[in-house]
Amino acid sequence: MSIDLSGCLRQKLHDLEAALNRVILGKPELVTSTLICLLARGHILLEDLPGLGKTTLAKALAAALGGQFARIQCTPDLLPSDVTGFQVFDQNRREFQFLPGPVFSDILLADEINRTSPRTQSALLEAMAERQVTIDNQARHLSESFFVIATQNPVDQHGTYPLPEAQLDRFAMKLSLGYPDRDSESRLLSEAVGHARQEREAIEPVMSLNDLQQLQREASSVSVSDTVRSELMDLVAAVRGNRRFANGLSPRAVLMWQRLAQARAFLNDRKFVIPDDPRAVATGLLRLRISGHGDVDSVINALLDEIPVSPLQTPSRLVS
Amino acid sequence: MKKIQTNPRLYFATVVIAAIMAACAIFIIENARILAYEELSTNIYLYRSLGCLLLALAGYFLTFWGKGGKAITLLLALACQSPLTLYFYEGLRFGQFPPFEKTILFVIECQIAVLGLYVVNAATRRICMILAGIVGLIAYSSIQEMTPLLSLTMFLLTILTPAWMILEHALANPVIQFQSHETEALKSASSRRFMPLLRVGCYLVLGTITFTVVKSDRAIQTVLGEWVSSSGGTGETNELATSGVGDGPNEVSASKDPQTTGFSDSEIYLETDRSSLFDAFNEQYGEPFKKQKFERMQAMGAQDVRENGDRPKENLQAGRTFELSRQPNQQKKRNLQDRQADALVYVQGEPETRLKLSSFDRFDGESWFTEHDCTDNCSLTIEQKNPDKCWFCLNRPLSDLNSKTVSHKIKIANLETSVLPSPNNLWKFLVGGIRQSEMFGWAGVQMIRVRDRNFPAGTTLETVSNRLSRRALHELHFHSGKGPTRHHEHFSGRFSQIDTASVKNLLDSWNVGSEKSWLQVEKLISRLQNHARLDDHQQQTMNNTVRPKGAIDDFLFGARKGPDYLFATAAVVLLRELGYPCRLASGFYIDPASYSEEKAHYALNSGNLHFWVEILLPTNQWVVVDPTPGFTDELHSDSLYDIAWIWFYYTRAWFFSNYIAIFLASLTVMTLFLKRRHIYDRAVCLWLIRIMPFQPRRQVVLTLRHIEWRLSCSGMPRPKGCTIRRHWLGTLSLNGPTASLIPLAEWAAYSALEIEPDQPGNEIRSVCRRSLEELNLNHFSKLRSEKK
Repeated sequence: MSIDLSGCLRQKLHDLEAALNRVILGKPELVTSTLICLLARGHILLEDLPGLGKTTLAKALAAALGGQFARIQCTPDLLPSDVTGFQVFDQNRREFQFLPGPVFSDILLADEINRTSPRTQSALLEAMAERQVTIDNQARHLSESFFVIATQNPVDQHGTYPLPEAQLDRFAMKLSLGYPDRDSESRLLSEAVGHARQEREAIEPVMSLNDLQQLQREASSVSVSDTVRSELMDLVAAVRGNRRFANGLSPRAVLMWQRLAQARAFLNDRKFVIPDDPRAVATGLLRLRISGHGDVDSVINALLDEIPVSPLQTPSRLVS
Repeated sequence: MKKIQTNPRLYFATVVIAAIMAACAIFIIENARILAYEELSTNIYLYRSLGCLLLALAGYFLTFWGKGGKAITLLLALACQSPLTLYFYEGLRFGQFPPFEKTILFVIECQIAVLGLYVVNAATRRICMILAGIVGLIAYSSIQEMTPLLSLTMFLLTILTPAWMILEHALANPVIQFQSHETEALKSASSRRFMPLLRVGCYLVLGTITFTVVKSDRAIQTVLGEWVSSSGGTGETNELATSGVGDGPNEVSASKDPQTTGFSDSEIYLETDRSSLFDAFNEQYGEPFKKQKFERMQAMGAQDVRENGDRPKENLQAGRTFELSRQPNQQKKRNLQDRQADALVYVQGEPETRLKLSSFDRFDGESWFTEHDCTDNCSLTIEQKNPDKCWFCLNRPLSDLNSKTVSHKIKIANLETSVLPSPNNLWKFLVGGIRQSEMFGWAGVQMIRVRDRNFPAGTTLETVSNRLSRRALHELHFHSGKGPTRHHEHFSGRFSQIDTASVKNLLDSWNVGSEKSWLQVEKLISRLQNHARLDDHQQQTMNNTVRPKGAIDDFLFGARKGPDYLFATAAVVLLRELGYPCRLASGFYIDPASYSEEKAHYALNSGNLHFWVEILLPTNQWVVVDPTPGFTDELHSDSLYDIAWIWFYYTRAWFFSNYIAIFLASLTVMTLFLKRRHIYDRAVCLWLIRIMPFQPRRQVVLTLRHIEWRLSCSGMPRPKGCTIRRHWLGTLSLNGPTASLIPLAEWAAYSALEIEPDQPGNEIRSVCRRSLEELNLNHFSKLRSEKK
């Protein structure tokens, strides 16, 4: 690929970041994490209180990518066919016709995913992992850039179905928005003056889905040196040895870990992964797999701090 | 250390018990050692045991604190080397190394105790403590005389060891509280109950076997052999098994009346070929070289020769001189019926003592001559304390130098002598039942003889003498005495035939210092021992024409080997050159190897003749100096405290004499020490900036490493789980050239080799240089104080 094309794509990526930052005020880290997941082709689980902008983020992302946006509001009586779609009999043509469900979109927002039954949750499994659904023994492919943002509410636990481990493993990161800081919130308020509708300004698409796929391909080709990879393996071993991670860490998750690290390096205009990358994405990744409650992040950070960063090697040793 | 968190009370109990065990073991070992050698002062093992106990408790509290565990272990390990240090100190300082096995035993016991107490690894600790117990057990079983305290200690050790094992085991396997599976909990509980019992059993069996094997006076194979049926008899013989009257120790037992002992029945009285001291000299060292009267001889004609028929007369006038040139010692042919010569003298008492029989003060380069006539009235007082025994005391002032009295019982057997064979610094003596002090006179300065006769064979003598303390000798000022005594000039004479210039050169090259002190004497003796080699079979056959300068010149500058009288003579020559009044003494050396178990005495014959040197101290006392290698001196052994004091004494003297140089040197060392980081830093910077022609990747990594080193020197090291970018930009918020250095660093350290840097080489170099210059130690220390 030519340098110009690559530079142009990068510019689009930064435009996307800027656009999202305009919508979600004061949360650049969250935006970065979202983009990392997007580049690594991993899905996001957002866990936060209502009204903090989860849906806004998803819609803004869909709009900026120029892709199709769909939303499922998960309720206990939601059925799998409501998610995947179903066959109806067309009286005129006298044949079954397929009505595609919300998964046939580019960006899917599954709101309050833990409110629906495990049966419906499982319907998303195949879609998330393999980007296809099987209806009546017929596999139907989803969009190549299919991307799920699921949300769940952490406080109101009554009548919820916690996500099974199989489902959790298909997510790449678990993120939370949190309250905006004082400045951002006051800016939000000042911008709201004069706008009757709750809708914020419309976002113009900054890149096409093809561009996104191109970027994803490039991100996956970022190089990972042996030093960094062995450090990643140390981290993996430490996680698996920790009793808080009773369910372990699947090779799929480890693969996702490396992809996320590559995506972070790509996002920072680097051609190689540095030890900062796996550590930076580890919190989001490991939040999904840790068991128990309490201050999960501090446990993860303590775990990461235990593992030494790979030492600075003299180049002579590198050469050999 | 994690164990402390599990159960501190249990840990404390274990440590206390282990400390007591170690103390017990050391107590027993020390006892065994001291009873075997009778060398150290009697309470020192008590102090050592208590010291070990205190160290152990201190160590416990420090480990409990959780700080400095490694440092403490290191310190204690170093402290344990003190016996080794002492060993080398004594060896280098006095030229004689103390028995090595004693040192090693002590080192081992200390090491075991320390390892047992401080090693974090529980398995090693257990092995160490068991070893300490077994060493203690072996030592215990080798003690002959048992005291109640010892038995109590051993009992304590026996009780404590199993208790400690159970505790250790409980400590190593804390009760698992979060165990969910009951079966596993049951299993571990049963193993907990079983394991210590097994170990205690093993220990007891092992201990019993060791005890039986070591304590039993018969060899183990004898014990085992008795299990096998045989025709009888174990094949053992005991050379001490004697029977009959006047046999064994009774034969020479010292008693008052010589006529009542076994000697009256022996053949000694039938033919009185008792040998004088000079006969013994001839037997040991060969006969003196007789000077030829004529240089050349020619045979006479047969007609001029008149056969005499008689045996030529022997020269019995060997008298009171001792010639250094002697004829080869001819080995006599022995017939089968010949019996070994009986001893000349039998002695009971402290071994490694010298019994003086004659002394020489004048030397003409070739022969020694006996002392000047001594006209002192022999002023002896009779000690009235004991009416049965009549002790004669020599009137001599009590001196600080005396530290210990030793007594000897001497029985004159085959020696024809009128001189009382007495140790140096004789205090009082007893000769059979003699009560008349008029019978005694002076044979030399502070040497007693019996007047007008010889001691009859079988006479028993008892002597009490003083040993001098080495520490007091070191403290003695050789200049500040009461001035030269009356005898001083006799023992300071120089020797006209010795080449003074070459002796002086030799002394200069030995670098013994100019200040007269005991240290100088010891240095001189040890240099002399290194200079020449002891050779008892040196044949002094050459006459004066072959060796024109004399025996002593040849010994010092030529062959550099010879028997003990040459060593002693050379020492006198050198000591007098340095200004010490001294004399040559000869007599018997009580060699521990000459102890006859059969007679329970030291049997001394002509092979025990020895020559040594005596120095006249300013306090008018003589001190024995033995320059011959392999012979210990007669000074009283010092305690550790005394040795430390001697060290301190000389260190202080050295300090005051060199204080300017010491001040300058320590100033330099202090400056270097305080500025060591800056010096190293400058050196590395110079290397990295000026000399380095590295490839860019290597250069960046080395720069980065050096800056990391500076950070850790400034007390802000990068935590092990923290990346460079996070630490520098996040925690430290460094600025300046950091922004351009960090991406370079990440590229150099973590990218694959084929990835090229974004900047050209010279730009990389300039970034490195700027970083090294700006992110220096001062910058970091300022940063640190700001953060505080």
